[in-house]
Amino acid sequence: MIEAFKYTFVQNAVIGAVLASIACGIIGTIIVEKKLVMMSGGIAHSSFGGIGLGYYLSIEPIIGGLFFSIITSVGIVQIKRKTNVNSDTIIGIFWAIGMALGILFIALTPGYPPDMTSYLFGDILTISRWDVLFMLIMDTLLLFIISSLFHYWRAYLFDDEFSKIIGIPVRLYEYILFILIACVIVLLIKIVGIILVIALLTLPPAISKMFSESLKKMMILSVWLGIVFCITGFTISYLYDIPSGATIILVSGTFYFISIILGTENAILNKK
Amino acid sequence: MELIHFKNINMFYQNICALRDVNLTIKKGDYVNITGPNGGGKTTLLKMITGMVKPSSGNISMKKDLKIGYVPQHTLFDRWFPIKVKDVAMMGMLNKPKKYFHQFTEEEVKKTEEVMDCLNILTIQDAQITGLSGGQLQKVLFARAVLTNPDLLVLDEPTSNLDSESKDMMNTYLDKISKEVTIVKVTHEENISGSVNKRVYVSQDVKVNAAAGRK
Repeated sequence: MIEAFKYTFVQNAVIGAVLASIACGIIGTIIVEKKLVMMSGGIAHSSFGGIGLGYYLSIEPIIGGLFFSIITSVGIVQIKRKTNVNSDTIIGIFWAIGMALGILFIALTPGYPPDMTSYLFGDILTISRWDVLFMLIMDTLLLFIISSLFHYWRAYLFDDEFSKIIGIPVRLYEYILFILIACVIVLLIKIVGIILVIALLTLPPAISKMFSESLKKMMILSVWLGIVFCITGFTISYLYDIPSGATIILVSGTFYFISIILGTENAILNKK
Repeated sequence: MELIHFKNINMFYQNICALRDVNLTIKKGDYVNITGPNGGGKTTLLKMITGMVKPSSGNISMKKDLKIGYVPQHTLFDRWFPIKVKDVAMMGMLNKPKKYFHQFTEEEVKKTEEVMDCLNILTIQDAQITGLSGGQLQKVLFARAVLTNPDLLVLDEPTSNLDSESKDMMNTYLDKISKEVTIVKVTHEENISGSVNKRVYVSQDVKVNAAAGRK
């Protein structure tokens, strides 16, 4: 395995896994605490429409995916705000329409249909230098936005009603958060794919929540867990030549169930 | 000085009338007790004061830059959120102009400890909110509201989960701060504090006409 590090694609995979885990740990914690797991699933799946559009227009599919993810996240918030429709319903609608559009655009793309497996299930070995650069920029931006206003973010995540009363611009925070979620989801597509992205966003925070007494610690532990899961999953997939995205998720899932067994009695949140 | 003025306020949820023709003035120094039946629109009225709910018709005028502290009747947040009691209370002090990489000052920490001590919750300052009883949580939310250093303190049944000793303690505390802070409180308590100088009865069947002022 050590020998494999001489290959650029392996270096990119490892650096990409670490960078993605940083974004994933921070945004994943927020998703879990703000109960936005379904919303994130909707954003992830709707990005498939953008990826299909990218192929159809012969532009970078991930750019199309990012565009669709942002439109979906902002669209869900807007429709929810202006109607009485349950957010689960709106999410389901965007989820299905995004997937349908993706299938349609790919069918309309001239020539042989592209292989969508890496977008649906991820392939960490396809991470390029440009992807690494995108992740680096995204991580820097995310770390600055969250850490520079950490107290305000925590107040918004904990109690948005009170935050609004004391003058925190809750609506602005909500839009920024949903756009960040959209960007991070697109960033993770290369690693675990559209279908598995929710697992990588929720499993590390779900485990770290059992052992963290503060939001900050939960984020930091989630980042480390994400790194461990991604690197372990990638190593196993490389050694046994099995799909990387699925392996990473199965490693994370195994850790989660072990944590439930070992951690429930010791979980910090169970203690007063 | 007028802090808030409600003029001909009506509120409908779809076709159901929650508030009808409310005219209410709250002045600086008032201590207003709002009573009324369940579902009578008391919480809606409070939420209008805090700006969380907009009326279906009528006009609300409010003093510019009015600092409001609010204690809700029901907590909408997640009780499993990983946060300490002290951090919840200190959220009240985030109403000042926003600062990047904000850190609470020693003075602010001391002030928080003083308020928590007055409410007998200083000993649980490092506890997770997950493990708190309903009464303890109510005191924490009260501390958070007080720490906003409000011009107007809006309280929705703040003593509903408290035992009689804690109720007395909170009412004494409210009496003490009522000299500096305007208070609007929804309550079902029969023994109303001597500091209360205005009583408002709210029901969707009754017009509210009240110009709160000192006794």
